[in-house]
Amino acid sequence: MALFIYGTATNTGKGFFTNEDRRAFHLRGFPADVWVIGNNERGAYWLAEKNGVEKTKSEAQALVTAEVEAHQAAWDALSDEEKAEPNRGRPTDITLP
Amino acid sequence: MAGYNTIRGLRVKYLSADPATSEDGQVWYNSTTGNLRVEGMVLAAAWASGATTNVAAYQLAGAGTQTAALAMGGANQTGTGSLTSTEEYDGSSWTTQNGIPGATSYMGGCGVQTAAIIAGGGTIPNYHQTTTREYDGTNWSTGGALNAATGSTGQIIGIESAALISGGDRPGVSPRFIANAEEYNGSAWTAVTVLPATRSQQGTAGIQTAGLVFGGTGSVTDTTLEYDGTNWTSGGNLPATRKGLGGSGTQTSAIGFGGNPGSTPGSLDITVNYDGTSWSVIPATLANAKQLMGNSSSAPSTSAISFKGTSPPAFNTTEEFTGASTQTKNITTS
Repeated sequence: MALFIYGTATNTGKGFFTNEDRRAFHLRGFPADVWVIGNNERGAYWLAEKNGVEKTKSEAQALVTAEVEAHQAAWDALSDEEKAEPNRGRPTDITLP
Repeated sequence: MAGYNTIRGLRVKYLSADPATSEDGQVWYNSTTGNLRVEGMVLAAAWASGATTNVAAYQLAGAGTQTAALAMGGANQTGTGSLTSTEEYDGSSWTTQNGIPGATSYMGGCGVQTAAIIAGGGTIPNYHQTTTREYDGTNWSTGGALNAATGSTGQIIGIESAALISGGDRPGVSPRFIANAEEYNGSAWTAVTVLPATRSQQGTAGIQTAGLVFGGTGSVTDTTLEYDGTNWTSGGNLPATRKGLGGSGTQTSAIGFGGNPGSTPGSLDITVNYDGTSWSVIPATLANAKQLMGNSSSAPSTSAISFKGTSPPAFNTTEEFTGASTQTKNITTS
């Protein structure tokens, strides 16, 4: 059985994920509202309850990559002076687990 | 097979109600509810989502508690400008308040929702200044100026009338990173014993007379410093180097969260716990890895709050930490 479920869901704020959720299954957010969720009953229920859309890993990766590339393009468009600021690094590529 | 009596040295009591006092591992039968009960089940620490903020930002100042927090200023989503944004959190929602008189980012903050300060920071790209601003829950006013311009100090330690700021980053100035430390009494800053080495983007916790500074950069570090109101001494090292991390708690019970390892780009979701002597990684992770977030250095380590921050890009999300606890649970077979 796969370790993770992949999906998209919009973080609606308070109650979107609870302490009980975090104790019951792995949950990690990524750009483009992509979530990597522990593959158990509680995790699957959470995604459904949040009106999430399940994705394949490759679909989820494509969404994350597109979002990161958009932010990288925005960074590339900055002036050399702005790019030189060490606290504003170029967004890095993300590989989903 | 050994029975409970043999293992624990106690019989399982048959009670009409839960005992007024009980100890970890004690088991009893509640005849009223029909439940076999056990005391001391560990409930692991965890981060849960809080309300989304109105404005995304990073390198902002934070203050308050999990149910009465303040988010002040910061860098905008692309990091190309600074914000005047002030938001108050009541544990359920963020509300926009009167803005800071001047856009400010890369500053530190401390205090409570009705008596907070921000100091240092400035506007991008020259985010180092001596300005202090005080917030009374409604309006902003100007406080006493720092003796040395600074920025990227991490959050200020303490409260409005007894604060401690240390280190910092001054882009365009040589030397860029400083070791200065200053105490605020509600109206003026006084230079105090400098840090043993330069440091910026550090995690902070504690109070003015029992402060904690950990991680940070200039040269990214895993070291911890403890301040007693006069001198800085070394504490236990973080499990690994960190900068741009959040912190909450006291000198003897603190947590650090998120940040960047310094050696590689990207943000961390890791939470670490300090017991006054040593740091350890705990299983509770932020749902979104982030750095340079808003947080309150004086919030209890068991109820910390992390808001905004960047991975990059900047977030408008909030996460609320609940420390590990024990509770009484029913013993079931399902």
